[in-house]
Amino acid sequence: MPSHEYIPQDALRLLIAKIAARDAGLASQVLAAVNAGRDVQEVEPRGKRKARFYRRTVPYDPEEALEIALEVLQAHFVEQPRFVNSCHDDMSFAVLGPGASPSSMFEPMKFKATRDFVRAEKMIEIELQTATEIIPTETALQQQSQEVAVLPRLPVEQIHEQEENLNRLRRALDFTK
Amino acid sequence: MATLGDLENAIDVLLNHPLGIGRYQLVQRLEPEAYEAYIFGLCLRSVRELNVVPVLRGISGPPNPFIFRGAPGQIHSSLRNYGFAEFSINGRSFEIHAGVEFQGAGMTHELDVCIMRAEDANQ
Repeated sequence: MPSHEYIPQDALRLLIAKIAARDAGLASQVLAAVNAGRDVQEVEPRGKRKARFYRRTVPYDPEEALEIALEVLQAHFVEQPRFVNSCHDDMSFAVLGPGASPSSMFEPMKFKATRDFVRAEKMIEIELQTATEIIPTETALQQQSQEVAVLPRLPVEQIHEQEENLNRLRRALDFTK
Repeated sequence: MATLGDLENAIDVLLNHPLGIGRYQLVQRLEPEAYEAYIFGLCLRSVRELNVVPVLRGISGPPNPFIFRGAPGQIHSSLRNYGFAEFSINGRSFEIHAGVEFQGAGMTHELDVCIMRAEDANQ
């Protein structure tokens, strides 16, 4: 008796269709990854002469493609939030110093950090519209009004939940049993 | 037996989570820079592991908020208060920058994250 009501090909199509229904960009990324294939080394026997080795790209098996798709989702939904929180952790151990005034930029920095500081969260922002951008990349279609985006720390429990959600999906896509 | 309904439900729960598709759409433009910020943080951690406290600074004022560049640019700017870090080891001062351009071999290159001597940063 089969352990699944569906086959790997159907599961892959369903997964990509559900992602595409919500975000075409992410679906394209998943598709690009599963369609990239993998490199294999081939051996061509040539009788008494030394065998010839060469590499070629072969398509993923459906089960492998599912694993690749899950890796892409894990990168976006679990690893990226962890990068953000790791950045916050490391920034919190640094001292917030004064700015480099135009005159001090050309002189040795005089500010000395104390080792007895209190760990403190920092507000981190990333530029959306670069300072030199005259016409935002989105241009006429959609004007980008926000110049920077805050990169907030993310709730650890939510990251754990997503990890568990991925594991649950991984179990549903495990055809080895 | 795993049913199609189980599979659909597992996918929906993953995608509909607060850290699912909704957040992806909010941060997708920032992902490369968020990774640079992560590497920048690892540099700070490495400095801390040498028992040295790194200092966060801004190029034109206190770095609050600490701003990462959205695209490679000159190390100094009068347009935005980009953040960098400073630390000293063995009497030498160093700076950590993200997303800065440098001239080399007759062309401009981007350094995603770099640690450089303070005197070179100030040239």
